Amino acid sequence: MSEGGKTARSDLLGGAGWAGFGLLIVTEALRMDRFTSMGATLYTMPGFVPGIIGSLITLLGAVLMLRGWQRSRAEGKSPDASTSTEPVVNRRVGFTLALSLVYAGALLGRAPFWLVTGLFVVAFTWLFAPEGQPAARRLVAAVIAGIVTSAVVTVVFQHVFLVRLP
Amino acid sequence: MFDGIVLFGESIARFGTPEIIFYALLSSLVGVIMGALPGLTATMALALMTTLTLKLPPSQALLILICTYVGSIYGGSRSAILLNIPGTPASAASCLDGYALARQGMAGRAMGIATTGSVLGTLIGMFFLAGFTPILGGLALKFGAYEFFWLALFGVIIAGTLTGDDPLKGWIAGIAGLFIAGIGQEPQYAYERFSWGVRDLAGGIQLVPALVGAFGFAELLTAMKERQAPVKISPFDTVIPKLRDITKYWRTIIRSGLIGTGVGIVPGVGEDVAAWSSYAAAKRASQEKEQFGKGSVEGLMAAETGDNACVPGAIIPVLTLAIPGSAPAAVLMAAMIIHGVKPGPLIMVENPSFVYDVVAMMLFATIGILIYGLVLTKALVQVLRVPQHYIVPIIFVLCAVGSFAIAGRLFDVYVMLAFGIIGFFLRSFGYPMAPLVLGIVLGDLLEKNLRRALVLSDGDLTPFFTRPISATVAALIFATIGFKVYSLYRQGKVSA
Repeated sequence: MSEGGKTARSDLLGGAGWAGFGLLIVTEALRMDRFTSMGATLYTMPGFVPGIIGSLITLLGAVLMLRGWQRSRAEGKSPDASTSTEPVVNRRVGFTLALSLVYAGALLGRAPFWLVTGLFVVAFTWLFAPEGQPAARRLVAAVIAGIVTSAVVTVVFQHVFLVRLP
Repeated sequence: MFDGIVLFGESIARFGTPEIIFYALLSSLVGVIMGALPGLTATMALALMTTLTLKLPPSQALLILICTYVGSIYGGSRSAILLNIPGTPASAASCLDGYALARQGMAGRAMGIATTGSVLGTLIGMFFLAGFTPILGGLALKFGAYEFFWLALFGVIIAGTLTGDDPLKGWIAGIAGLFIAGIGQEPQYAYERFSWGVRDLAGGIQLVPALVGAFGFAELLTAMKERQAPVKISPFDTVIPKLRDITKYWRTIIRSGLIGTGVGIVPGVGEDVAAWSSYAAAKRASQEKEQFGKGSVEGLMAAETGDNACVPGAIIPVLTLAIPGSAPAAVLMAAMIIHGVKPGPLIMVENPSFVYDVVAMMLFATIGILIYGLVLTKALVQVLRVPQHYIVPIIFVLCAVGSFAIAGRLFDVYVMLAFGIIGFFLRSFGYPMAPLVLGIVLGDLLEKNLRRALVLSDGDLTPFFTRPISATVAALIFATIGFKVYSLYRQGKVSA
């Protein structure tokens, strides 16, 4: 068994996920228009290549699943037994994900770029600053980082790289 | 041969303007800094720079990208030597002896060796880029649909086999990449596949936002998982390389340069494999084997020569076959296409001067890393002291803006987010990213050529296995898969 997310259980579940995904691709490929009225042959049909790809993903997923099952049996544990590994998403990753999704997924394009970018950098820098730092210093450093990043990115992208901002 | 030298001279003359030299030095510096910062890789640097250089003329944009590429592969050695953390995966082999030398109070010497190895490695690779590209280009003209189909599959399979710890997961990642490439309108009847009525998906997944997500956002999430330890940079002496190190290890330099270039030419493998292969070969041939891992100058020289020689090597199949030799080269190829350059077998017919332009760009990048390696090392290593919580949000802002800049639509920002999250989870569960990228890049080539070949043969599979080049590549693919399956079976039996 390996550490992190690379366990027998993750192989078993991951393999099942891939096999299911592959089957989904195959099903979707079979449902695609075949254009036979336009003279399409098997290998010119739109679903031909996705069908092959889906079949390969199903096959490899099944092999991975089988391997995970064999490994978990060899380790003398049932597949659903909990494994002593650290979670893939810990608190730090969770906060990073949340901030990034709010910034790029929800605010960008719906509010002024300079404002949301400044706020994002302030929030991020403040949240992940070393814990021992005095609160006032932490806040001032975060605000300065936010203002500088927002100003520099806005000016450089718009006036140097001539890129339109969201 | 003489034509090549003339074209190279013309390229040097064309690029020898103060503006171009400024761009070359600046982008090499950006590359060195991004490569030196742990968590930021060459692929990410190239993906971000592609989005920033969209509005520049093609020659300037590609010069910037090539200088960033060379700079970032070299830059990874700084943190490998000083912090024992590879700045990029390509520098992992340099940690072994680079950090050991630093702990013995020879960090400056180690950085000098890394600079020497990187410069000489790039020069050896450049030599083959200039000499080998026209030959391979001529050979590629004989390739038909059958050969291109196998080559595209070869890239995905080899990348899946060699770039991660688990070939099975590598193959799954590569084939998933092929699936992603198939999203959107298919080439024959413009039928919308897997778009489920989403208008933006009908045009397919744009490569650059997907790469920025998979290599940028995903890497940031991975980097944020652990709190950054306080940075302790080893003090260092002079970084000026010693001539003795070059003369004593000239065989190692040439061998590593050849291995690095060769690994680069193999589709989809990349700089980290080049560095480890060169390191292993140097250890096997060395008379000081016991020094390897304990501060061997030869080991560090081999790793650094190998990974930088891989950069020009990885560009050779991009130019001649439109098949990238590594993940950063895949981004570079996408950038070439965005800027109107058509890489592939016809490049030596339609645009031969471009090949020598690339060699000239590489030369400018080499000069750039030499200057920074000799003059600016002390100042540059201060970048390593910048705390993670300042760098990560800035890079993420660049990921978001860069993705938007490609086509000016928010959908690409969402693609970046989606690929970042998917990439983070896949990485956490041991799926390598390089085959996924190769799959996305090569998917179109694979599908078009498979369908074309089957139409030509009227559904007969025989030509796939009887044409000489086609049969050779097919045999390589089946041998690779067979060997790996057998190894996995043996491992399974031993562990059981």
